[in-house]
Order: sequence, then structure tokens, then C-alpha cells
Amino acid sequence: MPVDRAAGNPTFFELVQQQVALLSTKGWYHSIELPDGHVIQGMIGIEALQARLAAFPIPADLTGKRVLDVGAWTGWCSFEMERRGAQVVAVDCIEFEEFREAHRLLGSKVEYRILDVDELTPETVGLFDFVLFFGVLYHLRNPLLGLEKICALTKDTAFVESFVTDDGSAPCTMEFYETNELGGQIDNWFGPSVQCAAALCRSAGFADVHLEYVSERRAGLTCRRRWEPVPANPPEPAPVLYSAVNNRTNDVQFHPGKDEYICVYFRSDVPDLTRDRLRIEIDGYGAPALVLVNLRPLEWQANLRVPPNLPPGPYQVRLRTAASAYSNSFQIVVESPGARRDRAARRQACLETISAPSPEIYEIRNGMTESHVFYGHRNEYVCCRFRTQEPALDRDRVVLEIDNAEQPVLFLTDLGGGAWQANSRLPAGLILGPHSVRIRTLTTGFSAPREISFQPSQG
Amino acid sequence: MTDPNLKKLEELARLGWYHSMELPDGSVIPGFQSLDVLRNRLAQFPVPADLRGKRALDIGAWDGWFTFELERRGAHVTAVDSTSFERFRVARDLLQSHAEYCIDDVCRLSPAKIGFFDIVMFLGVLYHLKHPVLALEKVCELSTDLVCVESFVTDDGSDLAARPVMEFYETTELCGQFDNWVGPNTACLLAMCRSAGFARVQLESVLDHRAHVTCYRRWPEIENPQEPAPYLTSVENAATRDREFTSSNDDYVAIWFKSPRADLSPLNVFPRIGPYGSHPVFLRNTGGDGWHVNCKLPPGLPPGWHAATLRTTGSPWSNPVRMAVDLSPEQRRQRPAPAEHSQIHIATVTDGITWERNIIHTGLHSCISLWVSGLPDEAARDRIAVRLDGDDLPAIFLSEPDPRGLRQINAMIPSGAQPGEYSVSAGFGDAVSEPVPVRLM
Repeated sequence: MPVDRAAGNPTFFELVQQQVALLSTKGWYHSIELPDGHVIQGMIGIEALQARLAAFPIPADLTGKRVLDVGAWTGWCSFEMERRGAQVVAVDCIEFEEFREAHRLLGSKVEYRILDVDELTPETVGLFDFVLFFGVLYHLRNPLLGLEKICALTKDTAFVESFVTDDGSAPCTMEFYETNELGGQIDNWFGPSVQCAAALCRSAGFADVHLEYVSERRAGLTCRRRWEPVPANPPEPAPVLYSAVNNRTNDVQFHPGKDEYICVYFRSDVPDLTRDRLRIEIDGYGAPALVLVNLRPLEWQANLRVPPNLPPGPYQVRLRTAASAYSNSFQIVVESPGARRDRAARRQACLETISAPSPEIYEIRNGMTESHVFYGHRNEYVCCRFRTQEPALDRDRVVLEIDNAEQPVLFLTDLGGGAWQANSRLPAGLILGPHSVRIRTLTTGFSAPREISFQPSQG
Repeated sequence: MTDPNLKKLEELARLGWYHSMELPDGSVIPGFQSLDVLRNRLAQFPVPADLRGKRALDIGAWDGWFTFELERRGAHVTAVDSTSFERFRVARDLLQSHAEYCIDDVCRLSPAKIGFFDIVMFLGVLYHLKHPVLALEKVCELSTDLVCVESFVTDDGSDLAARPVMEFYETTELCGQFDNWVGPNTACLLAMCRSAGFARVQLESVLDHRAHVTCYRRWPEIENPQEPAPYLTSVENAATRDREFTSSNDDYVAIWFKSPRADLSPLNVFPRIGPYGSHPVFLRNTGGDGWHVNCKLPPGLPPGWHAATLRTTGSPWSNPVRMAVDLSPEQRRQRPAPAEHSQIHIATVTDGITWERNIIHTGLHSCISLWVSGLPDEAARDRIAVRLDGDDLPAIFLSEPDPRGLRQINAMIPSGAQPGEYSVSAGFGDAVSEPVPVRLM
């Protein structure tokens, strides 16, 4: 078909109506091959089904893997994944009698669930190594929300197949179908261009999106949650990660379930770094950078979205270039505001008794410049290294004060041998000149103060 | 980043305030947008000058000029923003405002959290959202009357027949900002507003890539209807063909009706569910004076019983047909006890095909026939209620009394009705018969 619009196109309309008529006579959408070699002929032949699947890099051996087939319809893909050894969950928004029939004839153990894409969560269906998302995207009223749901269920790779409006040359747009503009069917809502389909997959949280094919107004995309392995003997130096903070609040706290963004500040000696060469990951899940800004020579900022649906807990952020090893890690915390308040209240209750010797600060510096001078940059941390005899510490048990006012300890690193590093931010409104920093734990008195110097940069 | 945009950010940083703010003593805090600009934005919409007794919601309030202006007009205002702005709180103190300030994302708002609003301002927010249709549905759900939508659009609004299309901004494509996600053209913005569940959607203006759209939840009432009223013969869920409606699904209501008008189109048929209008997404003639219209189940209906009805351009409202939203089959069986003074009594229930008693065979064109005594002489077909587990099945036929004084009532059974035990009652006005058990097969 020529590259012309599909919506309102009489040829496309005719094609879809022919398919609908064929389906109503056949009953079965997918053909199904039975164990005795007999084939139930459906609207789509076995060869076409095999060809569509072969266009994606799906392993031939799926032993021990969990696979989700969203929009399973008659179930050919589900049964094929099962044949390859996977434990399969098939999901559809309405129940197909043909699926049940094929399931019975094949003696299949595939779990069949009737759920909308909105209802797919790790709680309802669990997590999957691989997800098939074939022919569903354009039926959704909120396509990006659907892809976010899929991403949240995927541990390794999702394979996305969709109607598209072009051959790959059009800009990043999607058509909206208010009624039956597309093929005379009322259950089509959005038609993305090829570029838009790929952009939606990346925005949903997949690290690496690869276009496998575009043909006959259908596109296939392989969406990976993890970056490619680090190259052996990486030629570029690893970046140094200064911080990873919530772009709205500037702290390391993130809300579960909210659409939030991380700012990472780092140093990289690669002069011509670009967004597509960055590899940022959060506990192993890659996240594409939305913005990369060169703040100063070798100093960078990148913004990325928090991967969808992270359960509460601490997470390690780190990054590399396409040709480097990974940087150091920086910890962020996903925690609900309620849990955060509870933690603060518990801590307040412990702040009374002093039973151990005071800690000693042995080094204090600006995390960016490695000196005791601060310039008021957004990504500056007070890195306070101290020794204490307390064996087990966490950041809730450490109190850091600047000019006798407590500043939250954003993260705490165990340096070994009784040495620790606490990182805090400078308070707003510091005046030019020297300021004192001291530290204690919940059960000790304060250390001797150490001095830092605040020299805000001009302009 | 483009130069004009950089200039804008520099200007904003210098002023601090985005909205200008006029204080009670007449002094003005200058903001990036002057008072004239702000007043002109508001003037694009038919917002009444007197809002006393109304609840208003301002989504994306920023410094709060619209919040405080609606409050000045007499409304109780709730302002919502995704981040807390210190300037909003400062202005609220300076103006001694009572506006509530709520920090939340649009897609997480719900009537359970903040209630319903007569008027909702949704200015300059849509293109910052990743799920624009979901957000518009949320906004529709929160509103009971009027929503003012202002959004960036990619065109000048001169070609409303253009293909509805939306740009997607993966990163900083739009103005160098990474919090812009979608850029619809004007046709697409209007289509998405309609699709969200509003009765009607009116483009007011497009000024400098900003479209102003008024979205109405209700159809206007008409003064002197001259046309005959349409008559509803059946109401079903358009997908399942049964009587189950679920507000969290994107459910559509299929209404079968009779109208003598031969020239009906989606533009002159006005369906209504409860108080809310819902425009036709599909209309066809089923032969003769028979019509079938589909419309979206409007968002924001509380769980319970609602009347489906419709009118044509110049007609009064049709007979109301009761339907249930978010009620379980068990809840639907719990009906008020029949009125004690009711003389109405169901003598016989059958399906008119097999004539077995109290058994109805379901399927296409399946019918229930009741023989009823005690109906008053003035009982007319369009005021007869046949209730199947509380859902109205409109009477499609009412006979004259037979020699025993019994009148026959026929009503359509939804073709997707699930087999099982139901109960059926017949009513006229306040009087309802005792329910009679019936089995659908």
C-alpha cells in the first residue's frame, strides 16, 4: 500500500472490512496446529504467524522463563511460547471461546486471564522475563499509560507490534480516531507514526528500543529494559557521579507511583558526550536520558525518568558511556510521604540518650570540587567523613549540623573500619564566609566542629 | 533553546512571579503575564461574572490569579498544582483568600478526594501531560457543568476539518523544556475533549498557538418543544448487550428509540444519562421510525440508578429508562418495597415465543410479556415501567383490557442478558407491583 493516510482511506477501509467478514466466517483469528498435525484454519495462517514472531529476537529456548502474551486472542503466540519451554500467562480484555478450545485440544497449561491493560500490575500478574504486546497499542485510549504498565511488568524485554501511520519517514506524531475513522472500527484510538511508536516505548521506561521492521503499516519494536553489556577493556574513562536527585524537590526522595524525574550530576572526561551515548541505570534497569547539559568543561547534568512502578526501598543509580565502565553508585530512596513522616517521628523519639563517645570528623569537602570551598551550585554536597565506634549506622541515626542547624543526611556510606561518609546539602541563604559543620549519632554527643567556606560564584 | 524562549526564562527569573497580582490596596505585583493578558485569557471563556454559591476548581493554578479572580466573583475555589508554589501562598495571604490549595497530579484527582465542581479551569496544563485523554476524562468526572480548557496547539485553528493529529515530544523538542509531552492540532484537541465524555465542545478562539475550548456537561433545555418526543424502547451496554455499566470502563450506552423524524443525524440527537449529556458517537436507522444511537457513559455518575433519556432538536425529553451504574446484580435486586396502596398485580409472565410461564428465552429480539391487572385507565405505554432486577425495560406494547380486565405489556430483554434467576415488577407512576420471579434461559 502506498504511504498515504490509512484513516479515511477507502482501500484501507475495504481491506479491514474484508478481514472482518473473513473473521466472521472463519471464527478463528489465529490458525492453530494441533498435536496430530491437523490445522484449524484461522484468518491468519500458520506461516504468517511464524513470520511475525521470527521478526523479533525471541529466544528459541525459553525454559525457566515467564512470558506474558497481552492481547492473546486465539492464543497462537501463547502456545508457541509454551512450546519453547516458557511458563506463559495469556491476557485478553474479553474471553475468546476459541482460546479455551485450543487450550483444551493442545493440553496447554497456559494461564488465561481476562484483564484490561490498565489492570496489569506486578500484583495482579507478577513480573515477566519477556512480554509480547502484539496488536494492542492502537486500541488504547492512553497508549503511553499502556506501555508504562507493560514496562513495569518486564524484567528483560518486551516485543511491541503495532499499526503505524507511515513507513518511518514521518515526524513523531500520532493520529487520534474519535469514532470509526480507522478501518470503520470503533476500537481504534491512536495511530502512531513509526518514530512516535519508538519514542512512546522509550518514554514508557525502556532503556533500549530497536525497530525491527516496518511493513504494510505494521511495525515491530524490541524494547529492552537493560543496556548492552559493558564492552571489554572500555576505552573511555568511567564518569564520576556526584549526585542523583529529584528534579522537583532537589532531594533523594521519590514517591512511589508518581511520574518523577531524576537529575544526575556527573563528571565525564569524554568531551563530545551525547544523550544517546549515555547509559544510566537504576538497580540494573536502564533509563534513557531526556536531557544532557554540559554545565562546565567536563561537568554534566542529565535528566531521566524514574523507571515505572519501583516498589519502596533504596535504589542505586550509576552511569557510563557507551564505551566506558560504570561510575560509582549514588543512592536514591523510593518512599511514600507517610512512611517518611513515620521514620522522622521514630527518630525524634530516640534523640535523648548519650551512651557512646563522640565521633570525629577527619575530612570535610565539597563533593564536586574536592575542596572545603562551596560555590552554591545546585549539585554540591557537603561530604563529611567521620569515624565512630558505633558498629551499625544508617542515615536516620546520624545528625549533621551546619551552623548549629540540622541538615538532613541524604545518604550515608560505610567506608569500612569504623569510617563513614555522610552527605548533606548546604542550607539556603548562607552568607559569604566560613561556616561550621559538626556531627553526632543518636547515642553520642557532637564531634568537634570543622570549617567550610562559602564563596558563591558571581553570575 | 531558542532565543525568545531564553529571554522568557530570563524575564521570569527577574520578576519571580508568572502571574501579575493586584492587591487590595490597588498596588500590583508585576509578573511575567500582565493583568491585561490574564484578563484576556479568562475573557475567552463564558465564565459568569457572578459565581456566588458555585464550587470552582483551578487546575495548574501556578501563582493563582485565576483562583483569586473566581473567588472574587463569589465562588468557593480549590486550586490544584503538581508542585507547591510559595508565591501562591504569599498571594493568598495578601489577598486574605480562603481558596484551598491542593498539591496533586491531575490524573490522581478524584471526586472522592476533592468533590465535584460547577466550573473547572484547565488552563495551560494539557500539553504537559503524558496521558491527555485520561486527564480530560478526570477533569470531566470532576465537573458538573462547565470546563474551560486552554492548551497549546500546533496550528492556528483555521482548519477544523484537518486530520486530528498530535505531536509527541519525547524530550525537549517543544521550547527546550522537557515537561511538554503532547502538542495536538486544534481538531485533535476538540476530538479528545469530546471523547472524554462531555456533551458538547465549543472552540472559542485560537490565539498565538493557544486554543480556548469550552466543554459543557449538559444539553441546553428548550423552551417550547414543537416536535413529538422520541420513545426509548431499550437501553443496553453497547459492547456486552447486557445492563451492566461500570464507570471505570470506557463503557458505551446503546439506546434504541423511535422517532418520527426521518432526518436524524448525530448532530440533532441529544442523549442524556442522569443529569449529563453525552453526544452520539454512532447513529443508524434500524428501519421505519426505529433508531439506534451509541454514546459514552458519562464520567462522574455516582454508583446507583440513573435515568437514560434523549431528545431531538425541538422535542421534549423521551420516556426515562432507569439503568444502574456500578451496582452488583445483588444490589440491583434490592429495590424499594412496592407502594402499599398499589393495586397493580402481575397475573402472568411469559416470553411470547414458547409461552412457558415465568421462563424467558433470551437472544436477539427476545421479549417479556406481562398480563397485569390494576392499571388505571389513564395508564399510557410511555409511563409504564417494567423492572427486571430494578432496571427499566420500556414497554413497547400495551394492550386494551381484555374481558378479565388484564392488560398485556411487552418489553424487550437485552440480548446479552445473562441466564439466571431475576425478578420482574410492573409500575405506573409511584405504584409498583409485587415482584414476580422469572428465569432467563
